[in-house]
Amino acid sequence: MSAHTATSRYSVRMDAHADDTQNRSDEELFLAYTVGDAAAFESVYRRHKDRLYRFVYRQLNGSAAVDEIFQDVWTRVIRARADFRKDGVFITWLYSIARNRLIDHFRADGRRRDVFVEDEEDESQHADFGERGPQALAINAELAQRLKELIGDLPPPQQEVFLLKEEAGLSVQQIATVTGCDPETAKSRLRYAINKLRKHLLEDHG
Amino acid sequence: MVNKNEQEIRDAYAELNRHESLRSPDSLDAAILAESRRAVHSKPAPVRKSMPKWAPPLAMAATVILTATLVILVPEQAENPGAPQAVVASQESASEPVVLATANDDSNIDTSTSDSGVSQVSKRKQSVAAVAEEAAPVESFSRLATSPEFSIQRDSAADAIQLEESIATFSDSVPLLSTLDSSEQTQDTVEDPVKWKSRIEELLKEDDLEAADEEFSEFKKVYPQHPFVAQYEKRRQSRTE
Repeated sequence: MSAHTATSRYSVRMDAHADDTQNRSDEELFLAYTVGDAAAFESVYRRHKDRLYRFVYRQLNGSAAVDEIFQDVWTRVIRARADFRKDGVFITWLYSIARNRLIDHFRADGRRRDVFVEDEEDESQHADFGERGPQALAINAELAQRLKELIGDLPPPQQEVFLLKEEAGLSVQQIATVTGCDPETAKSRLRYAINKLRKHLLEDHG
Repeated sequence: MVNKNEQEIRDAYAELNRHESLRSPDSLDAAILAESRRAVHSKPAPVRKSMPKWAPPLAMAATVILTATLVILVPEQAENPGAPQAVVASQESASEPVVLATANDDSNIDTSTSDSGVSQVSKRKQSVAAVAEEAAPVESFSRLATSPEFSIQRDSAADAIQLEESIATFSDSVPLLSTLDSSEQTQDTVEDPVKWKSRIEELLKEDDLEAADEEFSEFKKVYPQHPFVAQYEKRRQSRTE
């Protein structure tokens, strides 16, 4: 058997494996990993690693602990794989683990994350600006950079909900599951966060 | 449904991600994937169920209380060996009314050996129980009934005599049961069934059937369950035949 034939057969097998994993859900892949399929973990890891990395990075405002916490989260996922329920949703489980790890970090760091600040908000600040609003935002690099700062300044519960929605792509129901609040609370936090971000962006770039 | 405001922020956030192109470092990816492969070859770590924080102090307190209780109670029991028996007897006394109610039936069975004492004793037991229940709370009666002076033995006629003595001793010593005396006196006026039975038999021997029947009817009223009743009726029937 020539080297060329072997390589082509290997690449065919890899392509078939890639197609197979693309068609499989997170849950199927992770359950396959729990019974010994290491390749299945790699697939699910590659699907979620960058989003999770940014989720951690934004919550920590890019501090030096990002890599450590990111690795810790995946280590916990690997070690707790036997706890993953067959009827569970992988992404909510993953972000619950990440959230708990972040809470541990904030506790150790002395930063409170459980302050619910919506009651202190002035509802008038969150006035709806209508279909397109009085002014449209000109999306550009400068505005994106300002958005990054504003996300860092959001109250922790709003920041968390915003990132779970925009970064992890979770639904309101899934956000409620991850954060342990009811869906209405998650929804209102998300609305407050978006209104606040937009208000400040309009003030700066409108 | 996504409103326009939300869409604008979403677009801005996407722009931010494009601009920053944040990704997990390759070295970190390699380390995590290596760990995942290593883990496949080993069993998942058992989930450690940590003990609640309050469990050790609670266990310690329970141990101390148990030890202290034993230390206090054991010498007390050694000094007063009757105490635990009383406790057991008082538990038995809970079933006392049932025993008393069946005492009459027992007397029928035992009459061949001792038809004298048992039925009277059982009646006395009943009257003692009835009076005591009226006179005092059940609990105090149970306590009294289980005292050594009031040790009721139910199995034999000899024990029945002992019971009578016990009752007599006890009723003298306990003012609570002084009301029993009146009922005891009424019981004492009733003739002993053995004597009564022998007198009826004498009347039968003398062929004084009328007097015998009269005595028997009185006897039957007082001791309706007595085996002599059946015996007498049988004998009278055979005589008339």
